[in-house]
Amino acid sequence: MNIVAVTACPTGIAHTYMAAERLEKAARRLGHTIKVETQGAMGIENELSADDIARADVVILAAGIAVRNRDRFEGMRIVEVPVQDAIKDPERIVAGLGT
Amino acid sequence: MAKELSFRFPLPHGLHARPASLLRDAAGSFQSAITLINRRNDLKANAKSALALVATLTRQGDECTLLIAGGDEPAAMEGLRRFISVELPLCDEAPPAVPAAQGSSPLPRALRGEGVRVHRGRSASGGIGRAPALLAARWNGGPDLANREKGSPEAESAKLERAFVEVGAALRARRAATANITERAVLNAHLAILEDVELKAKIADQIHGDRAGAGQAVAAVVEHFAAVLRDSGSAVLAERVLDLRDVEELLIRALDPGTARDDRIVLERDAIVVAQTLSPAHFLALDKVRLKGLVLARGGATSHTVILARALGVPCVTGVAEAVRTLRDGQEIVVDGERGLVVADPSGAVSEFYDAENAALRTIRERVERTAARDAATSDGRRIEVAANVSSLAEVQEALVAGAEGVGLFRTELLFMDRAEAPSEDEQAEVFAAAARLAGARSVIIRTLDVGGDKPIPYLHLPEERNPFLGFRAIRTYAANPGIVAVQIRACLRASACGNVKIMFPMVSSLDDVRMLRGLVAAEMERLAAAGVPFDRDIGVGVMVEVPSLAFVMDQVAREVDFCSIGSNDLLQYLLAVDRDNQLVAHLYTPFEPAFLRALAAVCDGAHTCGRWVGLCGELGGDPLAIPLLVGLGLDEISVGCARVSAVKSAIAGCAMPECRQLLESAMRQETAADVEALLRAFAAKRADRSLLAEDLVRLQSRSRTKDEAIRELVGLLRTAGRVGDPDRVEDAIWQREETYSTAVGFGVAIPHCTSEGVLATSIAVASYPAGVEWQSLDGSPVTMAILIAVNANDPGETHLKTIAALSRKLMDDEFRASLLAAASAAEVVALLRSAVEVS
Repeated sequence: MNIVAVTACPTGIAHTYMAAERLEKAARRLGHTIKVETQGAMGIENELSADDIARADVVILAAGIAVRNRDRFEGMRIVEVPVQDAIKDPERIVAGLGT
Repeated sequence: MAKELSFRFPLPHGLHARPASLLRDAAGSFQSAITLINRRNDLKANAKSALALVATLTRQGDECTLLIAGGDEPAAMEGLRRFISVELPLCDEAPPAVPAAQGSSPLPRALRGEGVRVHRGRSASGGIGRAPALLAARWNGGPDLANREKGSPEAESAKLERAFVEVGAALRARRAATANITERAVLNAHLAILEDVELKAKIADQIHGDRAGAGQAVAAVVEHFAAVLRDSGSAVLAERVLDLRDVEELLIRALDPGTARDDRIVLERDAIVVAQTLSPAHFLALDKVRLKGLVLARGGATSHTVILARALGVPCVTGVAEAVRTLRDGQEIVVDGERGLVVADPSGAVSEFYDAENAALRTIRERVERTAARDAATSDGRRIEVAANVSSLAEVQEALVAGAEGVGLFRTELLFMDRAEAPSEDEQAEVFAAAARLAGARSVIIRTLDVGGDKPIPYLHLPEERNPFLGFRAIRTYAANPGIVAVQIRACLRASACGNVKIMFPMVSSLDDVRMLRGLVAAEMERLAAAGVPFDRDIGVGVMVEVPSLAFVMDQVAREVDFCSIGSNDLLQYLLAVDRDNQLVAHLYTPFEPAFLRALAAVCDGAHTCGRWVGLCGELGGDPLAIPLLVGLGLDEISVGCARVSAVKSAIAGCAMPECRQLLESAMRQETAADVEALLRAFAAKRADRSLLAEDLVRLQSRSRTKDEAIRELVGLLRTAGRVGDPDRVEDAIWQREETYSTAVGFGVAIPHCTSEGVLATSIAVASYPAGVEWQSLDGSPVTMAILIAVNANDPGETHLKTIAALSRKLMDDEFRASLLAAASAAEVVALLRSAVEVS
């Protein structure tokens, strides 16, 4: 499965990056490809391109706040989770996406 | 025939104490009677009395006339015209900064509990004191004077004259006995009041005209002036009333030693004095060992009592009328001069909080003192003196306290400004000798007078010029004013008997100049030697390198001087031909121009080849970006403003010679100033990463039992390291973040964090808890390690944020966490965190 994800949190200092790290590792362990965009204190990094999004089967939004440029994902399957869940148990989130 | 001089009063803050005393000095140098008439309110004053001048309530824009009558009318007219047009407009000072009301900043968490009685005021002097309150009665004019037996007017006058002499002598004796410069300044202010001609004249009028007794006359005249100051509408003037009252009290005690009611405050045990107001003399009389703090209903930032409290380190809170009304004598209180709070009956959590605060303040003070006491050196052990640029004796003291390793530049212009004639040899020698004594073995470099047509010093008769910076200034004027430079050289030589004094000449542009100046010094040495006056024959004589020509002949110049100091501001403006005050070209004024760096290198190399030491005393020395370059140049000394001393010392400590030399080499090879600046920024960024973490920010085996204690401890680590300025605000920001959802991310790790203006430098602090701390973690497990990330809201630093992001990712790695939790020392924790960031 092709996954794209966006992580963000209230201060954009720590959780954004911890969640990104956890999601990337869990997805790979479960045999998926994933690209995670972080929206943190340094702005948007590892930005998802139109191509990335077009190829993706599903979008994970792990954010405690509103995600920027959300309209990019219109018409796609979106799974929204609290950012702390993405840190706590990313594998459950990825497994829950189905196959 | 009397002369009149009309003018419009120019100063925004009106005719307050400082311009009044300068006008008095200007008027006082002539025999003629001089009267100021304010045409707006028709008030008149003897211009030789500062008190009377202030009492004319002259405001900006008032039409004023000076009436001059007497033997030296033409000279007085000319002198005062010059004073009014040239000096007066420059002699205002910015009104002192009044600390903002602190009602808006939140109370520390520990003081928010039920039943904690907190009075909010203004912090007037820092520190925290705890002791029983001592409610002070107020000086109320002393004994009943009206019904006192009195003698003839002549007898009363004679009595008064004796009292004036006695009080004057007592004030002078106390001034001589104190080493504290603030205390001296206050005593000088009191002497100025005592010696005011109008005060004395009005008192005499009362005695002869109104048949008043001496004491009664003093009280009536002081009340007259006090009423004028109080009603002036100026807070700064109103605060001078207390000084008047002090002089009144001294005079009345001297007149009637037996009968004056003694209401001085005597401290029999530790106490915090609580009063409506407290006069400076009463404050000075308090036993400073027992005095733990001061709580005043009134008293602004400019009152002498508050200024003294700051100088003597007594915690003080003002503007707490309610506390002064409701506190009881003997009631235990805390005066929190850090936050502007008075807390009554501290107990339990409040007590614990202030114990911890006191411990933290002590640690901070010790750290500051340690840093200040340490001589500056690079990490690989090369000594570089960090000295201070000063303009007055008071600044010398301030600089030494701040850790300056001497005075790199004593500007003498201030001694010559705002007065009718040049300071005498004795006066200058006294100032320089006092500076030398304060500095002990450290050197004090005195720069001779550096003025030109741009600085108005009327008695030097310097012509106005089209281009004063390329004209008749500094040493070029010495031939025209030979007396002035001779006096200054003799004053320096005399001071050299008291310490390590050096003479430095400004605006030297050739070897001819050097030889001429050395000749002047030699001549004055002979004169002093002939008179049997002691001085140091080996006194260092140096030049300021600010005219670019010197850079090309350093090999010749350095042979004939003992040292040189680069005046980087002028050297840069002359080298690039840029007036930085001219907005059209100011952008060209950049010290990172490769040509300028090469000029600096030429000066340093030239001086070192002859074995002479070379310093730098311009603004460049305080620029953190430039410090590695200056270290690379091999400078022996960097002299900066007092406020920059400790920052420059720690910047030097973070440098190693080889990398700085390499940086300089590479900077000199760049093609543009922008390239140099980019190079320096990259260098600084690389070092900033290292400074995000430090061993003193790690506490293993912490005893914190609760999340509350743990957060306070982590913030405390940053605070004592000087990385957090406002711990209350930082704690609040962390708790605000915790309230969204706990930062305990599981695996026994919590990552509390915040972005706050209370953070001075973005930092990471770490603590481990063998017993575990409940942190409402996501997986329910207690926290065994907390990593606090504190980001500076104003200047987070992009490199720092990148590092923190990388670190956050790394913390998700099981192996990394395990090794972090197993680390046995702070050094190991720091090394692990650093390696994590570098690998990723």
